[in-house]
Amino acid sequence: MSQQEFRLVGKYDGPRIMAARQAAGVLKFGWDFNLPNQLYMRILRSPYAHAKVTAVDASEALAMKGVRDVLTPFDFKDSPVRLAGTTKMILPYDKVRHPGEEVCAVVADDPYIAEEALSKIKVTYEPLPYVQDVEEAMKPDAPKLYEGSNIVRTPTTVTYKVGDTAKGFTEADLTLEFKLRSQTLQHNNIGTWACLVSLEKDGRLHVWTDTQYAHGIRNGLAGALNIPQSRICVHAELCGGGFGDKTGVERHVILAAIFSTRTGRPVKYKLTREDNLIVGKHRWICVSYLKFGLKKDGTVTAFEAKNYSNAGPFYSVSGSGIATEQLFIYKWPNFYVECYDIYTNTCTTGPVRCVADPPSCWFIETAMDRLAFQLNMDPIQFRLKNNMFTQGDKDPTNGNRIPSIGQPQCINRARELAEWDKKWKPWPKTKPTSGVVRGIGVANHSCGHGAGSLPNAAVLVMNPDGSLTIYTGYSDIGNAGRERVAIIAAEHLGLPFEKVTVANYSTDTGPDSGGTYGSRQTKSVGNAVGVAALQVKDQLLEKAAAKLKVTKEDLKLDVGKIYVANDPSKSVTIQELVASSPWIIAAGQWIPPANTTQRTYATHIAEVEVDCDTGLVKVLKVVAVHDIGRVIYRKSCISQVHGGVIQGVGMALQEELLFDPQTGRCYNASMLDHKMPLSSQTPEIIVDFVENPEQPPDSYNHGAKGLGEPPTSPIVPAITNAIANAIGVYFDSLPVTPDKILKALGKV
Amino acid sequence: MASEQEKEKKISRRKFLGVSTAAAAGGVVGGLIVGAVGGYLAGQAAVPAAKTVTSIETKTATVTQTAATATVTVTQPGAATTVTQPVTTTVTTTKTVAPAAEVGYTSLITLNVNGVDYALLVDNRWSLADVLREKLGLTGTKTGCDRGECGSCAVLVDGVPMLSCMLLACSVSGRKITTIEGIGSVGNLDKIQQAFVNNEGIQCGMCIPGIIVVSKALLEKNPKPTEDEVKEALSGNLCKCGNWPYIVKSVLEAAK
Repeated sequence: MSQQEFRLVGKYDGPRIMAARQAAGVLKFGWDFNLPNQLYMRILRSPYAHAKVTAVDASEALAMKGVRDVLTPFDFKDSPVRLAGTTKMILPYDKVRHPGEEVCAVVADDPYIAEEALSKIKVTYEPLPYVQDVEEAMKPDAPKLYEGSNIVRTPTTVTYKVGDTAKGFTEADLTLEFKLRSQTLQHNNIGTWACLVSLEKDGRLHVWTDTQYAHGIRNGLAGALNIPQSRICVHAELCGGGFGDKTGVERHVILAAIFSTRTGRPVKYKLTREDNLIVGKHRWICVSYLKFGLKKDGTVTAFEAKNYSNAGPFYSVSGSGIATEQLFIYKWPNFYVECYDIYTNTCTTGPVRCVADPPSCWFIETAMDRLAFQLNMDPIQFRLKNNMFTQGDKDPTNGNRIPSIGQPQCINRARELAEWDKKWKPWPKTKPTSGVVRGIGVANHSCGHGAGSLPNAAVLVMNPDGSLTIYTGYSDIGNAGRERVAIIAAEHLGLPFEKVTVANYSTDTGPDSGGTYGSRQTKSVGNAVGVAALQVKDQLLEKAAAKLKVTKEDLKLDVGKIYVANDPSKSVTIQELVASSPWIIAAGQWIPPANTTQRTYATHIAEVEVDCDTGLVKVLKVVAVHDIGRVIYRKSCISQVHGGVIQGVGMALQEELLFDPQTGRCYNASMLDHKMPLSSQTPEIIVDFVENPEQPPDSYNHGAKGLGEPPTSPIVPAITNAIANAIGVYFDSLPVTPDKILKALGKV
Repeated sequence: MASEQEKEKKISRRKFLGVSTAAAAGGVVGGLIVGAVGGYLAGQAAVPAAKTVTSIETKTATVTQTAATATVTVTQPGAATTVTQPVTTTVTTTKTVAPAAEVGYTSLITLNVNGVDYALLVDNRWSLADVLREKLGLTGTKTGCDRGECGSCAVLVDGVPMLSCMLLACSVSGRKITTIEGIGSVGNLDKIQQAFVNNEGIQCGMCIPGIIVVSKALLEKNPKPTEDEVKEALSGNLCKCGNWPYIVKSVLEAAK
């Protein structure tokens, strides 16, 4: 379907549904909810990176006025509780494995009293040796976090191989090897995770929380408490920034629930900023060894990589996803990739916007640029020479079909918008020593999206007045998914945008739809809404056919009515159809077609200015072109890209959480020292989209792919490649801070 | 749901305040609000601090005790004792005598918030942000960091943007406070708020109250700022969604 035929898709330009109430400050986030007689919870955290907990004395805290209850690790010794899918215990009675790990929790009538009570709890620790570095942790004599090795996964479980790399290297003129390291950083969402838990009159636990996935919390909490999932209702409230941080159940929600059942009172909790930075999920520190066989004409003959990801103290989502970006941009004739996840005593890891792709994209696209640098070849020409994925190519790891690939269109469009051919100059022959120099850099990107194997479901109900309500698992995390699924349904059903409502999401009101993460809201949930909308359409046509005494096939649906195709005078309004029995209700599920791999593509080009005297980098202009299948709600797509780019600026230039080797503790857990980019660091950002729509049966959402995560990945190598273009130096680690630049220029 | 009851309670309290404020036009504050939510409130009436202000009409909101008298059929992991712990209002009331409410730990302050006069008995440790949010129910003011780093708790104190998480409530007695709720309402948005709505200025929305409050102060002082001036004015506000292009656009649009 061409763009012109759409009524709302790509054309709806109204504001977001909640925007006015958000601007007025009246909508509530997780921390904004209160119940009468609520208690406030605080958590005592370990000062050690690795220590046995031998004794806890909470009597002094319990004796304080206003303190209601205390939980210690030993309360769980006889009936250990682990969080599903991880090695994490609710409170660790054997040992703590990272600085900031939860040790005890207290509830009091007043948040300030609860805070004071923490200082009265006496915990006896027996400090143990700890390990922070990924490669150190792999050594046989390294301190062990668990019985056995610190290696979580063996390479046999995540090894990808095509062709014969040994043969590929013999065909090469040059062999180049790099060791690159990416940093850890935290989502640092402005709203730290909060929850309010209460045993309500229906005899069930109700949780009001800012979450990306209410069903995930419900199921995790039910598992930990060993009660039926139906006995819990989780209300997904405004999120205050998700970015992967608030995807499943965490210890604090479980602790609050236990306190609530023990005291019979509502319990409220919010992570402090410091807690959030130390114990929230973090991006994996990744170390990658890359090896390329290269011909002098610029073609890569073989590619090998060994990737080591810091899993932190607990295993959750795998950092091994790092391989995929390395394999889905260029069709290597021969490749071999191994991935390892390693336990260390640093910080909890998990999805941070685009999961393993930002480090992975930085590794591969920095390496590709360095190869071009080696041959003194235009980096875009070099990339074009190396068989980028194009429509019709298959998943190299398993032969699956990829429904839509727009990589070549992205790089060509970005090249044009950035005036690359005019602006790109070869790298300087000698390093500049003073003044301000400019450079331009490019990077491609491909990531999986949609997390289609999770439930994707929606229930659509036509109301008697002709309006439509969508019930689905949609969490408001700031991505405008609500508007997008409304547009998808309204387009299918000939309804004005205003007639479609997306119900507030709680586990009581919407089916499990997998949550709002993994760039899956528009893609996977949007498809489920599309499937249900088509069922609604079918039911409407059936009723209309009976009414007009024709067959369904004779009918056409237009805005607000259904008419006979060859006799438009015969028609019936939607409103007439929906106001009587049988009522129009449909439940849709989207299951991705078997043997498909969902990929989305992008190219970013960045222009930077490097001050050789101060080492400061200013990103001047970014061109970001994304292959998103189909644009549904244009201005929100643009703001998603803006946000991703700005987060990428932080990852490229300034954000890194640091762990002190002397004490084992994180020493910059504040927004001042782990600083996100400011308003003044915003570059000019030019956004464009390649529309390469997926078609049924791959798609029922008008062809859209995911966009939430991708914008944060390619910007990182685009910036560092631009820095290299300006000063002739590539850096082996992120972030590229002023001190690294001054050192590279021989100034310090 | 209980938050509906909460809303009701807040509306009636405001109504009460509105009346008494009008009656006390000579600057005398007519109503005393002791706390607003939570168990902290339950024991207030009996503590000495309340007795020192007996001349002032004391209104205490009714605390609805959610008593867990029903048997909780939760298999309690790790709990050494029985799970069913009925809590009665009486027990709570006698126990909830927070040290914070004792003489010497509290201050009686007056605040004019969004044009409404309040007299409050506050714990000296409480920040202005916590008092606005937890005691007055004005949750539009967000606490992103609670230590002066993110700017989302910005309010106007006598017209000057300040971080309410860094101010002790007892230190701003007698001052005029404007929060996001006082800048405009849903039915009557300020032009800055409207510009944020029209220009996709809001993603997750957590930082937006602080940003709008600071922008309001900027436009009062400098009605026609340049793009760089807007960026500079907002450099104390953090936005992790990174929505800066549209935030700056919104402020510039409001200044047109």
